[in-house]
Amino acid sequence: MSEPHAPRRPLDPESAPPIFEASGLRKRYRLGAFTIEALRGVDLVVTRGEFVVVAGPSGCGKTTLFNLLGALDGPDSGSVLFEGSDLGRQTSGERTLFLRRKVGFVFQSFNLIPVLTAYENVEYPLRIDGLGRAERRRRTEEALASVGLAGRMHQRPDQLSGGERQRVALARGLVHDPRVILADEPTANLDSTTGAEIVDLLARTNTERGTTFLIATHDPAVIERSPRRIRLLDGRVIADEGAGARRPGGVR
Amino acid sequence: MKFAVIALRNLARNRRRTLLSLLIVAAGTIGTLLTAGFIRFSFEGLREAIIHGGIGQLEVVPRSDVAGGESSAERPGIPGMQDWQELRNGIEAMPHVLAAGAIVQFTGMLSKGERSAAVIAVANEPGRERRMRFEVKLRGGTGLPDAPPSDGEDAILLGTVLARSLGAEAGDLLTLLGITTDGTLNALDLRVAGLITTGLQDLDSRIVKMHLASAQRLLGTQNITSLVIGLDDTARTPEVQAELDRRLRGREPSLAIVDWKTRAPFYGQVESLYLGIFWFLGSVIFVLVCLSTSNTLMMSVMERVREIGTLLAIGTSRAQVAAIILLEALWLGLLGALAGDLLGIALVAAINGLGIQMPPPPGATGGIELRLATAPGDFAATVALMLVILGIAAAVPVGMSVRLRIADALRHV
Amino acid sequence: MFSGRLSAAIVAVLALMPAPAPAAVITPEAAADILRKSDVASLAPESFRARLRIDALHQRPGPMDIEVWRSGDAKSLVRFLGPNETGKYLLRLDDVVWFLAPGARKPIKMSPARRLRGSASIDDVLGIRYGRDYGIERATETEEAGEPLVVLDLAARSKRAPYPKIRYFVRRATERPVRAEYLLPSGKTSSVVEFLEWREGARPVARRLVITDRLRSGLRTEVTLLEMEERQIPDGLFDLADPTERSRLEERSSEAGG
Repeated sequence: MSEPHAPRRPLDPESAPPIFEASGLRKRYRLGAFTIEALRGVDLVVTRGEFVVVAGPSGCGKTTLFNLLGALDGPDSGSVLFEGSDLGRQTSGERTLFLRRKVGFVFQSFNLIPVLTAYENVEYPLRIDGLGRAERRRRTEEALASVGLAGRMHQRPDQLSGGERQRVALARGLVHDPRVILADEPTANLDSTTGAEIVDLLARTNTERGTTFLIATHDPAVIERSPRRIRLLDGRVIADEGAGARRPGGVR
Repeated sequence: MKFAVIALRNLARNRRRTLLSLLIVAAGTIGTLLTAGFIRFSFEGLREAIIHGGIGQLEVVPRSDVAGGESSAERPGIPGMQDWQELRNGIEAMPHVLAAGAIVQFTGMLSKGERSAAVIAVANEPGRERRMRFEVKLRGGTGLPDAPPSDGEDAILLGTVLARSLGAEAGDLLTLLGITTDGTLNALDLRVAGLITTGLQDLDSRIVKMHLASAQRLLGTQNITSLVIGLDDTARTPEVQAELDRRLRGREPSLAIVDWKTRAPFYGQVESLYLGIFWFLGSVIFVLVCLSTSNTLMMSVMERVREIGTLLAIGTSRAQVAAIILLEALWLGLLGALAGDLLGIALVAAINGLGIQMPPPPGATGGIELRLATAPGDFAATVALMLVILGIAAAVPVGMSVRLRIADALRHV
Repeated sequence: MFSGRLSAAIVAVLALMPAPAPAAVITPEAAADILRKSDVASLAPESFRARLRIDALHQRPGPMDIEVWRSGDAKSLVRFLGPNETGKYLLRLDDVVWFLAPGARKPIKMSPARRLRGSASIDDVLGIRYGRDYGIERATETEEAGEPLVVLDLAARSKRAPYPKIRYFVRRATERPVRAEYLLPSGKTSSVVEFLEWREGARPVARRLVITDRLRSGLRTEVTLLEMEERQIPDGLFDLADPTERSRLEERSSEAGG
């Protein structure tokens, strides 16, 4: 399984173009009588081709950060630039296209559409983007093969194991060849062996396709395998370590 | 296309709930179908009863006689149509015309000894009436003979209520007092041949029927009030009317061609009453089906909030999400209506086979057998109706789904 | 009894009221005298035969001729003279009117209010006995076209009276009726008879009268006396059950006609 193109992982983070530039992100939630400050001013730059882990305990703001980066939600203040354009200024149509083409999501509980087979789940993003039948077939089968599920493509999600489901979810996230995959706790619902396999898959995809990965996790096995680790606590970045880390601007 | 499949599969997820929704839709369909069938049967029955009760599909009458109004109740007392024989021959040669019968209608005073009553007399040609498939509902005695009665042999049919109030029965000799076309009084003895009912209590207390020749003898005229025309198919009425209109144009004195519906304003009243009932029942069904299916659609959206969030997160537009939910509703409408139509066909056949007797409607004298008349259009119409209802029922769930915030929806459990 | 007293009371009250000019109150005796002298129906010959023409003016069908046979107060016979009317009679015995027709074996009882033609009822043709069937409630004087008229308000006092109230106008000078307004129980005028021409003689008879129907848009009907002879009438003509004498009448007239 060798990809023809070279890995896009930047050797020199300073010279590679940034894919995300987040600055001053703040987000509050009301939860009954309480207001939770999920993000309290986060600055972050991620370069194209990076493999970044955002680590921290539950409730540290990882999911909120990912929602803002993935344009699923808007910040109370601050901004997110994706490839230089402000996500906050998108129209709803632009947002739909952004979600459809530029970004892929992998969720903790897989979030597959239960009435669709594995194949149909993976094919779905291509279908809503209006791709032709043959092209859809080729890319769907390729994506399923790349996650090692070529043989189980006609099973419904409830007929698949947790690991298989997450592979389907990853294939769905990858099938339209997005710039970035946002994976929120992708191994939390898996046993450690399966989790390790999924992380291998993510890493290999990063290497082979050059897709940028941001992975939110508190799983040490995942954290220690990542070249860049951003630690989040109580809505703030408390550490940004490893290759490509932006110490001066990354941490406050 | 894909969304239609997703919608259909979504319906299969909670089979019990879907089945319940389908049952509601099917029940609404059956209700609509049976109501429409009953009302159509009532219309058709009433229509044919009116036509074959003696007014025919069409009537040719001097225009001057219908100036005040075209319903039968407003005919003048003096028969004013002259030289009608040739006209009648021409009409009877037209296609779809069974016969054209001469009618003399007048009022008079009918007595039996000391008792007397004001009556509406209708004189006709019994042989032609039979050819026109008119029905005489005898309630005793015999009908009128076809041949014109000779002098002194005049016969009469009495409405049942009238007969009771005069104390008359078949065989009795009664005297009918009328005004001749010269404007003077005349009287004629008539033997009661039989008792009849028109189906309407009020009319049964006033109606008498006799042979045309008897009326002409009493009134001293060969004129008639009108020609009634019986057709082989009521649906042909407009076309025969148009043809007659063309033929009679320019004729002096001018003749009017009046159709059965104009002559029987009663029919129009019944029609609007029944349609009112139909719309009322239809509205009830509409609201019930709409509310209950809206509720189940809402439940299925509530259960899938996170799934809808996922669809949105992976690039499904809000319009597409709305389409999925709307399609679910439409599938329910389509499948439920089809099931309802199938069950409805079976029920209609069963009810028509049972021959259930209904009590007489207000003002009528006899009960009627319950039958349902469904038309092929009804099935398509119920399907369309249910699709509309479900489309409306989907409004709230669709509105809710398109207003979901993705981040909230994904957090939803 | 009570109603009689009430009527008297009303008359008294009305009599005491200042009458509007130019009406003047007439003594009851004088009023009774005027009624008696003007009561043409009662003054008519005891028995006679007459021919009348009834014409509902400007209406179809055209005029109708009838023959009236009268014997005394109680018996009258109307014979229809039209071409298709052979054998048809109205027979009035006291206050009961019967219709006889060749097509009907038995006589048919009819209302005296029945119209013969236009607005002319049987009563209008045979004459109403004002003096016999009505009492005077009030008598006043008025003037019309410069002529003094006596106005008698009559109220029915007999079952034979066809209308409950009549307003009766008599010319003072000639003591002949000018017109009679027939009122319904409601007080509404149902019809008006105008006496237009007279056959003079010892027993004056109205030769032409016009009846106006006030209920049916003023329909006017003219009754004209064509001929009249005083004579004895065979009683058999008024026999309800036996038509022999009447059929003789028909034979004679068909001979005359042929």
